[in-house]
Amino acid sequence: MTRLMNKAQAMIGLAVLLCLGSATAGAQNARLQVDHLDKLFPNAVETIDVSLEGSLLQIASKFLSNKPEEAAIKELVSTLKGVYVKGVEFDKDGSISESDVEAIRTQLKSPGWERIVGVRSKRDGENTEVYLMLEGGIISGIGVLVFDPKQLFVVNVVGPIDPEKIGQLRGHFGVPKGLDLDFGGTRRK
Amino acid sequence: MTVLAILATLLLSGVSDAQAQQPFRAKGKEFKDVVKYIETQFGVRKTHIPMLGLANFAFKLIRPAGVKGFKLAVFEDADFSNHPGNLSFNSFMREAYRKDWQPLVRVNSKREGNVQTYIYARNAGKDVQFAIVTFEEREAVVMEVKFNPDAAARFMDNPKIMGISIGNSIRGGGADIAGNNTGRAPSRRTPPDPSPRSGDIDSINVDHVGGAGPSSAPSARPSLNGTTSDERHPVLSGESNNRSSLPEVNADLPGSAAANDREAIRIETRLVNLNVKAVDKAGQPLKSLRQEDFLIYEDGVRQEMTHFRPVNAPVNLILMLDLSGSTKKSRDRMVDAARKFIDALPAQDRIALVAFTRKYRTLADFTSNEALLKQSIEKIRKISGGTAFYDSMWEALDNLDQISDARKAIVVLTDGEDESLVGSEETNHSFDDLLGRASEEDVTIYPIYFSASNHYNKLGVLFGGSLGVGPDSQKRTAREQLGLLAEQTGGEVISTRRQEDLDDAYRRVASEIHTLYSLAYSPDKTKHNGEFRRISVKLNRDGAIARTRKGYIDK
Repeated sequence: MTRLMNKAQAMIGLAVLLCLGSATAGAQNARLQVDHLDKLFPNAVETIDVSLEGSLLQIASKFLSNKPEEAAIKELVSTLKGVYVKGVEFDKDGSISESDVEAIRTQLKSPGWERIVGVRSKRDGENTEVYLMLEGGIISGIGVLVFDPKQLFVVNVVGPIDPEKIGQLRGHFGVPKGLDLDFGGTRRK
Repeated sequence: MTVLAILATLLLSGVSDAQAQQPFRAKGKEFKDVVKYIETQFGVRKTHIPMLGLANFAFKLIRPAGVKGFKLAVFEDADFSNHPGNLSFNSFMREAYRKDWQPLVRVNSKREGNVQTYIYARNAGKDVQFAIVTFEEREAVVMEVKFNPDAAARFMDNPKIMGISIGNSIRGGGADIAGNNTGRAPSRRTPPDPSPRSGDIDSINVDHVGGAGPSSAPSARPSLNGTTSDERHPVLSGESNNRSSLPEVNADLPGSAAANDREAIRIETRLVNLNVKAVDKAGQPLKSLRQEDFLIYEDGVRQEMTHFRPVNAPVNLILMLDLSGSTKKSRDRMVDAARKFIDALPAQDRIALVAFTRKYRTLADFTSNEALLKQSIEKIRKISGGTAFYDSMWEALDNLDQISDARKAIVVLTDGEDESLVGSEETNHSFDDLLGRASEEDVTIYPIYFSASNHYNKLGVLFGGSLGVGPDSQKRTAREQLGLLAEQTGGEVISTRRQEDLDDAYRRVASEIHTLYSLAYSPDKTKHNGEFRRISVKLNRDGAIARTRKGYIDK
């Protein structure tokens, strides 16, 4: 459970911190539908499902301090509309099917979404994909998809984003130092 | 109401099959629904919590940390591992918490005994309400709490209750209110008092005869072969050869006619007990050393060793198991691991089996009968309660004080979180008391720190685990205290988070116990001035190193 929690926290940190920025409208389309993963829950050894949105998200931000690291999250949360995490982990390989992943990918391939990061580890088979929802040149949502044969995690942050601040986040809160976050164009890594 | 009930029933008629199978349906009554559900599904009644109503009233009145009220129901000693499952209970929760409530967190871990947590929340004007439901294998908790987030945030910046500060800011993980707010729970930062207890001072009456006046008394060492009047702290009847070299003393026990009739001189000697681990250059334990291989120094002055026990000397060991609610989900694994531990110890070792909650229960007295021990350990499945860790350890030391002819050890499986750390219970003995006493006993303490996740802190998911309050803070304190106990007694803390690792933890302890030598000496001079006496033990083998405690306070 601790491992799951840490992972979830890191992923929330990654996704939330990617979303620093100014307000914009029309962010609701960035919400991913991942309810189909619920069917995997009964047989998974660990599951997590977090939905933090609206005023409760603002309330959560009140419990963060003004230390630089937490202040960044606090500033971010003030403009966000929602943070959603859903994840399942199994004991055995092969528990995650391609269709489970494709159901999410299909949404992330729809108009407005751009894939900016795709990392595949041959060593442990883990895949990480990061998508941005772009509306009028402004980022209004982020989708992070992490999966391997045993686990599948989806982090979805809905809200306005200031791309200029994203680079500052490398090396903090689970954002890899080497992650290339140049949002001037669509890049694949 | 009837119409509403019918409407609700109609609305709920289209739910999933899983829901349809549930014999109990939610009525949108939130807390009451969930409590009723648990009572109905599992045939269990909620545990009576004394003064809960008064506490709630006090919260409404005082509003500590912005909390305006709460509801709490705890269910114990039922098998919650077979509840209908994540999906169906989640559906039930959605029915119970309908209006304005938002599902925030749903977490399930089968690795840790099918632990499930559900958190819902809603706005209530300027306030916010959280509903938290957790299932563990044998415990379920339903809680609702209403608080003002602004007041709670202010409390975190400046923790005050009724105008009384209870610490510094508790944001950011830096502060530790657990150590400040109890008054009873000693801070781990307070230096321990490792001065010897009265039980470590052997007092005898010596005849004042033949010109052996006071000036010669200090050189007259007492025989350590007898017993004192204080049977709780019998002196060691050691195997030391040095006893024969001590001056012959004609001693009468206090109260005897001879002692009363003659003028007596009171001589006090202090026994300093040391558990020593000897290792070679590569760090491998040296297990075949003899008494003459050890040299003891106090403040740089060589001391005469009075007692020596080799590593293979039989051990009288108390195996203590923390049966608080936090370990409930791990009972099966605890039983299994303890059995293997019993198997791993040499046959001549004698083991007592103790379970502790708020009570100290001896399940089996000292015995080498493995079958009896393994049978006794089954009893732990039915025991549950709080954690009086300090008092239980104190009682274990009392038990071991009854034994005078063997090496002694305590192996305690615990998360170390004495209830005084959260201020929920009084303790008879503080941690400093315990550490001071343990420092002077010839008992080696091996804590196996077993800390699984704590469901009360699941909100950490929302806040990134960055808040330094509540369980995490207590865990840190508890872990550090266990480290101090081990350090001062020559033992070692072995940490494990997963039930699966308990076997290995016990195996390490079983191996470690028989790598220690037990030594004792009587300091050549005692001043009782409260100064620290530095101890070092050297080995007359090239490259060999002896590890033991650093010293004691001459009090």
